[in-house]
Amino acid sequence: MSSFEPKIVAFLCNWCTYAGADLAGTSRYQYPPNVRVIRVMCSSRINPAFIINALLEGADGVLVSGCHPGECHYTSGNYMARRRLVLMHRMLEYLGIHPDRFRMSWVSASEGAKWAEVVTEVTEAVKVLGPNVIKREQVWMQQSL
Amino acid sequence: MDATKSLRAIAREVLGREDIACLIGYEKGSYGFRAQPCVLTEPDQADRLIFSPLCVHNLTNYLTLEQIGPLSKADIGKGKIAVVVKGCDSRAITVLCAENGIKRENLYVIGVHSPGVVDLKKIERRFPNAVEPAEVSLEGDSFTITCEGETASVPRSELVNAKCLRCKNNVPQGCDVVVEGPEHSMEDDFADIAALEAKPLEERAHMWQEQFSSCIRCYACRNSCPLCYCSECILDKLRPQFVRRSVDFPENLLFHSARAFHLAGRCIECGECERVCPQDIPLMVLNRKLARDVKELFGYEAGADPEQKALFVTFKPDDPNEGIL
Amino acid sequence: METLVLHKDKLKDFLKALGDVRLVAPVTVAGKTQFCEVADIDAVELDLNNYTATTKKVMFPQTETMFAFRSTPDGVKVEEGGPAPKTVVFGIRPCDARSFVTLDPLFTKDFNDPYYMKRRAATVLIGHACAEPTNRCFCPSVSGSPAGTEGLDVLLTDIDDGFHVQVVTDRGKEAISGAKSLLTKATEAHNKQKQAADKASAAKIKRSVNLKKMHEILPKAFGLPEWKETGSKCIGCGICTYNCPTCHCFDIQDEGTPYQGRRLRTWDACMFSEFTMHASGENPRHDRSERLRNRMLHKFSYYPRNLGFISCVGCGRCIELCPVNEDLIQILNTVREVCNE
Ligand code: SF4
Ligand code: SF4
Ligand code: SF4
Ligand code: SF4
Ligand code: SF4
Ligand code: FES
Repeated sequence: MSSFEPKIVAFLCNWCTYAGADLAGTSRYQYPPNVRVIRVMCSSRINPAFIINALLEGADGVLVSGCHPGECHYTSGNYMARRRLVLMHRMLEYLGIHPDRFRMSWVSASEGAKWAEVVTEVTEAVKVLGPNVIKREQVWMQQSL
Repeated sequence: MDATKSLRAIAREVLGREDIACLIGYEKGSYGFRAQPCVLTEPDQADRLIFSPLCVHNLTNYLTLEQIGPLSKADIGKGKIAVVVKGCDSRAITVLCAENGIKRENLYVIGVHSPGVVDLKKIERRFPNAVEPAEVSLEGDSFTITCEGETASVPRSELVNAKCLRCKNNVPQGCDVVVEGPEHSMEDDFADIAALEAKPLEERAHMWQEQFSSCIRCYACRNSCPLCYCSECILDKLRPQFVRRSVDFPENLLFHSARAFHLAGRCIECGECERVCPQDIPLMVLNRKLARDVKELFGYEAGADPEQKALFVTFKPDDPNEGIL
Repeated sequence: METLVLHKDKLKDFLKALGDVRLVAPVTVAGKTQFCEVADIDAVELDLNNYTATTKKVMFPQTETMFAFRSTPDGVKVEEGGPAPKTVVFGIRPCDARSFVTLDPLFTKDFNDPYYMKRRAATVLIGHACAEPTNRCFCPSVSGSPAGTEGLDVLLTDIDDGFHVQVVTDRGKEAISGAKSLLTKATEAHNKQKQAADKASAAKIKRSVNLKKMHEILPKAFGLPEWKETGSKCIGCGICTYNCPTCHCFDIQDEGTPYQGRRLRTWDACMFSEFTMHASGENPRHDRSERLRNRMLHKFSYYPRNLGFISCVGCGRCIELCPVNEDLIQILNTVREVCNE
């Protein structure tokens, strides 16, 4: 196994997955420390551009997670998000970005164990892929043609 | 030629009416195979209009601009705008109206059954360096081309724009008046998209990297698109700045995915973006991928039905959960 | 200056003999001709006549880092760019080379623009005369020629067995000095072939525009209603200006992370609505027709009056690439007609 430790940016909805991740912590479930959580009010807050932006800013993988269908705090936000992000997932693959670099999940506030599983699965998959290569080069002084 | 004649007659009548402010159509271009858009206001200008396979532009693009011919912002809305549309163009109006971009009652839509438009790049390669305005018409299965004093006949399939070879329906929808002609409708099997999907991921990554890297980010693809009309575009925004101004592959990737994605379920495949691109970037190969997926995943087709709501403001509880953990 | 001959089989050797310089030449990437830094000399395209790829980026890149900054415990550190790399541009067309001559006064008159000047000083231009001008070319109307040498250091012209090599400047002579052994002196016969080639290509130019007194006519035409009609066809896409070798407008922006970044100069264009947008939200050039009029006036009136050159070299890119057939020849002819001059 390589020693590569990927950075995973996780956008979590405040009402379900964020609480679920909290529960995972208080319940002392073990899961890889690779995720950097960004809390949003609802999965529908995720502009698809955030996903590419996260990759460009150096994430090796991106995870969006919200309430199960039918359980969104705002009734239908996650249905809207699902339409957008399922399509986005397909588009990214078409553009040559491996489908494992962007994942979605439904994790409720009571599913601490599922959260640990999701993080493990996503992290392991990205580990296999190796570092993301479409990053922005944060090199400021450059001569370009 | 007949379409031109009927169009002129319609225009003469329409431009004489009180409630019509102007008419957007096509006229003879300045050289070779170019036609150009024109905005007419008087009945006696009607004879400037033409309609031929050289009328490649999607004129509905003008409907959302801040100036339409002699009408400045303040004058728009005082009278109806008449506009000449082909089958594909008419679907842009359907989308624009459905998302409240324009009001249908402010338009007078003149539809033409287009026999297909030429691919300008192909025809200009075949008949290079034409200076005198050339003429093209469809006779049977061939284009008759009169260029620099000589006449030639070339099979339609060799010079026609690719979009016309898979045109869902050349009969414009929702028109006030229609100039009739041959009708055709084809099934689009998206075979080109499937072929690219079948290639290894690395190969696709490489292809898009090469293509996007050559983009000069003029945003002409956006400006030429009838459905890109946001008054403040995400690409121009500085606070927050989604896309940096650097022109390199990462920024261009972000730009291209945003552009394509904002048109998902809205792009009516008029092909204008790809036609105008000075760098020949195959934008339709991306637009059509989304169109195919939107159809496959959500059973949705842009501009197919005036009653349908925009793709991303609606949902079905049983939309696919594809790939979701 | 000298006239030499290069056999066509020796071209690759000639390029190699240019020595340790950054070579910029047309190559085909993803099916289209681009002006790029050449890594592999075999990739250089010689069938050059019809490219529309921009060459101005060699002196005036689309985005140029002016300086980089970073915040450190000892305050903000600013780093400026180093010298421009020694560059040879190979295969540039005469009109494009001439565009730099028209740009020079802009970047030197009131103020020496260090970014442009350093690239200009470090760059040698080896041109290739157009053997096949296209239907968009009209360089003779703006005092150019498909075999013009203005702005060039060396000019290559296709002749029977290869290239006629005209050394125009001392810089050019020096740049190709490493290739001496590959070049032979041009004979009378070679020079005749070159003259015949120039004549033949000049005869292929079909389009022209009468620019006599245009710089005076245009301001008089400022208020004409015709602008609205012609100019409103424009969709404001900016293709004409981004691809124009003489357009030079730019914007300055910062980008980076909170603690480091750079100041950039990027292309901008008067055809974009944001170009004249004020912070108040007011846009003094709010209609597209006003923007198109500005493009015409800037190129054919303001610029020649202020800086002595028509800001157009007749390359025809704006004509060929405009999606709606805004054609400056047609526009200027109409202006002259309407003004009755
Ligand atoms: S028109 Fe072409 S070059 Fe211009 S921004 Fe669009 S894709 Fe890029
Ligand atoms: S994205 Fe392109 S093909 Fe689709 S509607 Fe816009 S211009 Fe037409
Ligand atoms: S204005 Fe047009 S023809 Fe003149 S130099 Fe610019 S692109 Fe070429
Ligand atoms: S025409 Fe416009 S973009 Fe070009 S140099 Fe003049 S003002 Fe600038
Ligand atoms: S290329 Fe044509 S449409 Fe685009 S900005 Fe220039 S004049 Fe207007
Ligand atoms: S609140 Fe959790 S997905 Fe909407």
